[in-house]
Amino acid sequence: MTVNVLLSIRNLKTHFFTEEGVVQALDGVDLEVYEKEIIGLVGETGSGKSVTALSVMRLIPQPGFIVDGEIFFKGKPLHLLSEEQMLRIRGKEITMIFQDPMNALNPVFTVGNQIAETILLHNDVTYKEAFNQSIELLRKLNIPKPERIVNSYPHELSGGMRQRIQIAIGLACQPALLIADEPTTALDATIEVQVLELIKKLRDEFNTSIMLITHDLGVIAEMCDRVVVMYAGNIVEKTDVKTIFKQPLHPYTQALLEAIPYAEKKKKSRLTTIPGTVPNLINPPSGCRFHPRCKHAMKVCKTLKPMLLEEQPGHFVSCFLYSKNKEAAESKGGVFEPLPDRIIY
Amino acid sequence: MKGLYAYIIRRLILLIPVVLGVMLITFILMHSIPGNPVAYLGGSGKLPPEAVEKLVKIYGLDQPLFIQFFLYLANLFQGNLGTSISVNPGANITDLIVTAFPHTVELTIYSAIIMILVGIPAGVISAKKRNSLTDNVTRVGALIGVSMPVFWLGIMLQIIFGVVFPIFPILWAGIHEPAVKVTGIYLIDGFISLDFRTIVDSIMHYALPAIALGALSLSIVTRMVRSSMLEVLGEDYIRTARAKGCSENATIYRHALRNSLIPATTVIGLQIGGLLGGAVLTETVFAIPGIGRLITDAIMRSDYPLVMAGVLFIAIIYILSNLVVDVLYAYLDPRIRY
Ligand SMILES: Nc1ncnc2c1ncn2[C@@H]1O[C@H](COP(=O)(O)OP(=O)(O)OP(=O)(O)O)[C@@H](O)[C@H]1O
Ligand code: SF4
Ligand SMILES: [Mg+2]
Repeated sequence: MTVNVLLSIRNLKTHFFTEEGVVQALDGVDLEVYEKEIIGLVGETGSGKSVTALSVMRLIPQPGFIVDGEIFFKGKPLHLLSEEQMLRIRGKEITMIFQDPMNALNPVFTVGNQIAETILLHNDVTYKEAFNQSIELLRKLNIPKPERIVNSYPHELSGGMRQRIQIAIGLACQPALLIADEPTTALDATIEVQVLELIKKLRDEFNTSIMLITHDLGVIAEMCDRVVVMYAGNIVEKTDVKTIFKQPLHPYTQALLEAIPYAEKKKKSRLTTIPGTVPNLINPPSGCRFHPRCKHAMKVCKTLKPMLLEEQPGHFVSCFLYSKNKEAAESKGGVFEPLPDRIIY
Repeated sequence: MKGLYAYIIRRLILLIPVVLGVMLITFILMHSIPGNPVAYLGGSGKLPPEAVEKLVKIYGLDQPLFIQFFLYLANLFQGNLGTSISVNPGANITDLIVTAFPHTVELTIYSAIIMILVGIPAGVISAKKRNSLTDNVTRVGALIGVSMPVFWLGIMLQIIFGVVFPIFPILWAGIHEPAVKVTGIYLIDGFISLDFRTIVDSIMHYALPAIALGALSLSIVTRMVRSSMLEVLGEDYIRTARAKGCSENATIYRHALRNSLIPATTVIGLQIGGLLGGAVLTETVFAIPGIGRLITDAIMRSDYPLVMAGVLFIAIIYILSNLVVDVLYAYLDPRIRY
């Protein structure tokens, strides 16, 4: 299998210019999505997963802006495209589906109408053809009674069905990349499995790359080829799915995984079991943003910012405990002593 | 759809107790304020006491109140609204209302056109360009609109556009009579008889009162549409629309507008219902012989049967316009089913 990069994000910084101050929601994000892969984005709430996705879509809500960095999709610089050029990419080449199945569909149009709209926006067909194509699409996705479903309004459908409709809308134009922002968080377990299977099928049958955002490491293990772990607007670790569970390097990833056995019992892990709180991104901690909560924090972690470096082939980590960052920090005079005066929980 | 018809019928049946209640309250209120309609008869010269006594007997004003009330109801159910005592002595009240109402409807049509054709776009643009100069101007304008007294605005319009720049006539009177009078609404009769002069006359004569009256409703609608539009624009399905590749205009006009009109429909419907009930101040300032004027005259002169009939009429109009709003609501919002 040749690995071609479909999407590549370089040093992306997205900030929100709020009245309280500048929220540095993304602080130099680096990641790439290969063709036909499912890549997982995990991290606590507020770590910047959704903002990363919305930045790719160029749909960052007010008052947010991409202040630095590059996003290349099939070689096209998305960060430089005009709004008009983006209109031809959204919904056609990259699509996004959202968590909340209650509100993600427009309540005043039938779902068939909403699927057909996407087809109509990007293809030279009549409304009737587009509508028939949406019935076909639902049939391909194994959705029962597609002729009936297309004439329903969203409120007449179950949460799981609405989420499948969202996926159908996302898929209508056979995009190269589908971003799914917590597609199953609001669903119960059996429906979740079905929706995840559907997403997997997209990759297998339609060759769509999928960026799957989730809180749930179980979902990651089940679905993904590679994983990106985010913390407070940074990527702290990035590797393939086996390695992340067998040999996590970053202290934050380790803490997440330690939290699992407890979380498994509670069915859906919310990743809230790590001591300490998510930092405020208006005044983020200096150096490594994780240092106030890190067991291994050193003086250098407070003064210098670790970079996301390839510690082992294909395994990137951003932490001073590992050789690449250590060398870089030593040359800048970083002090490798335990950090004093820390509240240890 | 079947449910909708059943719902409409249920609502129409509900009209009966409401009407009875309205009648009773009006009757009590009318009789608890001092005044005798017969006292207004006879012009400047007082009627001789015997004549007064005779009239009092004719109209049944000497009967106990509850008997008067039931007599009135009995007549009402036979379709007889009675005759006016003091406003237009001896005139059939149904005729009075049928003559006055078209003028009120005509004023309402013009005001509603202003309210809908200006208010909705202004609200949408204001929300779309939130916090821009356009938005701020619109918001200040709407604030002025809701704070200005109607009669003051009416008089100002008369002074500016009727006296200083004599573009529009100051008073209502003097619209060219069309050849065919079907509805009593000059604008519509003008079109029916293809009488261009009547149409233009109607527009010219109603322009100032419609602006004066419409300013308030217009401002209310603008504010309402703006705020519901802003709310809708923050909904998840708007983000979904954008993620599909909808342009800004498609997002606003296709996905957001209909949703934001759902709450605005209520306001627009109730405003129209209110306008149809007669705009007393506007009708007075511009001397329009509409329903509002008729009822105020009746109240001033204690013309009991006319007041009762007028209030009944307004109550029914208001309830019906509420019903229309509800039906429209169900049409706009598929989540609502009756
Ligand atoms: N509209 C906004 N205005 C200001 N700050 C925002 C806005 N949207 C997001 N942020 C900030 O950006 C940061 C990242 O938010 P984001 O929504 O990407 O988190 P997330 O990882 O998706 O969390 P969750 O798991 O809860 O969805 C947060 O600190 C948040 O406060
Ligand atoms: S860089 Fe320092 S603080 Fe950050 S994770 Fe590594 S050891 Fe902990
Ligand atoms: Mg999120």
